[in-house]
Amino acid sequence: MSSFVRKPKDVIAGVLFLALGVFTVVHSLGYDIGTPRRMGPGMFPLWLGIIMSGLAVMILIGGLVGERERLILPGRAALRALVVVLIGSLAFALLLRPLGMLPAIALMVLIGSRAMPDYGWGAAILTAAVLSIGSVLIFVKLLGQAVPVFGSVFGV
Amino acid sequence: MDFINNLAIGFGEALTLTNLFYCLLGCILGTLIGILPGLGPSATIAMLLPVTFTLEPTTALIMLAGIYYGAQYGGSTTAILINLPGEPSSVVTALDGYQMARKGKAGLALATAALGSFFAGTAATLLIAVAAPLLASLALTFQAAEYFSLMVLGLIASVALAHGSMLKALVMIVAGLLVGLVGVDVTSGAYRMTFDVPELLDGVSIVAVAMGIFGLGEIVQNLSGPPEHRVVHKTSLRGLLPSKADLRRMARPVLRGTALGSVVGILPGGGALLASFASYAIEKKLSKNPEEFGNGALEGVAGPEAANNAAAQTSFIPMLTLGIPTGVVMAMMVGGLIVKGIQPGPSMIRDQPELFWGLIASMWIGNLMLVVLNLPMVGMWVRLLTLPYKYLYPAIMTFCAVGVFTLGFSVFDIYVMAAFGLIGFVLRRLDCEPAPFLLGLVLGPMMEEFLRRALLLSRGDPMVFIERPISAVMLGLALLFLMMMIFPHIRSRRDETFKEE
Repeated sequence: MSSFVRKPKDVIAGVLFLALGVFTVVHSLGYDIGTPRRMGPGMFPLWLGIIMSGLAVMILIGGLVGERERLILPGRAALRALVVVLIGSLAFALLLRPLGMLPAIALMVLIGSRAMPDYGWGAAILTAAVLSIGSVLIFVKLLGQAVPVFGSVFGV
Repeated sequence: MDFINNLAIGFGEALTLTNLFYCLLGCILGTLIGILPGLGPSATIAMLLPVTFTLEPTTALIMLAGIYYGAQYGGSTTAILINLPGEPSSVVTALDGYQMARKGKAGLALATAALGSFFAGTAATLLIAVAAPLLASLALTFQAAEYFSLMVLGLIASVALAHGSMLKALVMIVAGLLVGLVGVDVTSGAYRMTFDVPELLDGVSIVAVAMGIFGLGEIVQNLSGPPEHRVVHKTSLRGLLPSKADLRRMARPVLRGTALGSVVGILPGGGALLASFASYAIEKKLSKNPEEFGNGALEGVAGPEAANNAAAQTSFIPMLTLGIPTGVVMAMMVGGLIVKGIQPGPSMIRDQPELFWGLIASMWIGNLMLVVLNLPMVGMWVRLLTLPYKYLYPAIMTFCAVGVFTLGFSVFDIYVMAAFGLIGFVLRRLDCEPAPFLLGLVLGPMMEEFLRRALLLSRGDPMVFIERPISAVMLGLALLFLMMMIFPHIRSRRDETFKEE
């Protein structure tokens, strides 16, 4: 980290929100701004973008003064949990239509079990079975939600 | 007697078999999930919200309310038994409750928490029944300018209660407002920030965002740390009922806690956390034996528990009478009601009296159920605590994924959830609290609409916000809150209130 950055977290947050704010301002200008009396679709987001950019600049400046802070990067356990949980959810989303709810949940749980380093495969398979069958019972049988239990690849 | 009539309508509605059943189910589910470690009321409600979508609006709201205070009760149980507060407002309960448990007085601590909460819940429910209609009739005179200013006040006040940097909380609110605008603009029909994604035309689902940030986010957070060490203290059910001397000891703290919590709960910003901290501080100051605090003082459990339950109850008032959520949980309830086609606000009491009064009556019934349910079932709840997290978090993942899908049977919502799981993780790492973001998300479209209407009525003159007295007062209060946060002397005091001892 270069020497003028005092609080890396604030600098990163400031830059991110400044980018979003500026983007919003530019994007809003593509819509009709209108007049105060007849606000167009662009006016409210335009002002939000301006306010956000202003706040972001203040956060950014705050990160360049004062006491130094060290940036603590997320640990391996956190990153592993994040990536695995996200992949599990995305897999569920992708597989729900073609495979159906039962296999999709089972796969999501199996993937999700990898978030913990010492998760045995036996326990993972058991958890997947209990959760997939349990969800079908709760959501489809009990609550009557129209989610296909088995999907299109099974010819249903 | 209008009041009696209204309560009669309410109890008539709440005492139907269906509503009683869902109230009980909500209380049980709420307690169950509140007790499970690492799941607070926000995540619980986010997870279970879709389950209620198949129900009638009144029944759905009754069940959600049951889940909400069930989760609160469950949170105090874990705070007392294993020193693991299930939600932020039970942090204070853990201070003395856990010490009592270590001294073998877990039963007494649990009973104190339950009875204190029940008394507070009863008193606060009565307060809602009296105050809400008055506030709602006042709110009916509100025009767009008042609503806009009220929302500004609510958002600014919520910053006052967020942890950490004020600037970051403010920027999170603005980001929330902005994301709330995604979709078709109702007035002009323009597609805003939809980037040619057809699923975005209806906007970003609040529930999917909440599940990503709070549901998935909490899993990642819990798995990030070192494996937790949980010690469950043997709880004998003997000594569960407090003696006369105990009852006398807890009476005053409970009364003070109830009064404090009822007031703080109404304030925009959602004050269960603030209420319990303030009550603890007051009891410690008033106590003849302040050295007992932190070593198992009964007053240190009774006061804060009453305060946080009263606040949890009265935090419904702004949502029900003004349609403005004061916290994340209320924001999700508003989201749930909107899905059901009901816009919470001042006209709700008039147009849907059975919904409003049914909810009030069921709040009291739910509180009663929880006392009856919790005390005898403590033994079973304790056994739940030994459930390892490795079985728990896949269940949370499943509930979130399936739940979010059943919102609108759209796979896209699951992508939204995953995206906000990631965004929430990054923002938390940058010390940006996600709660203000969610409030902004709910209020964004409403705020724009009211601003637009206010300026239309005033022919584009922004002075309307200052010329109308109620609006001016609210903007003034918002400004005062801002000054308080900027002015360092008061800010240091604010930090002190939240300092753990």
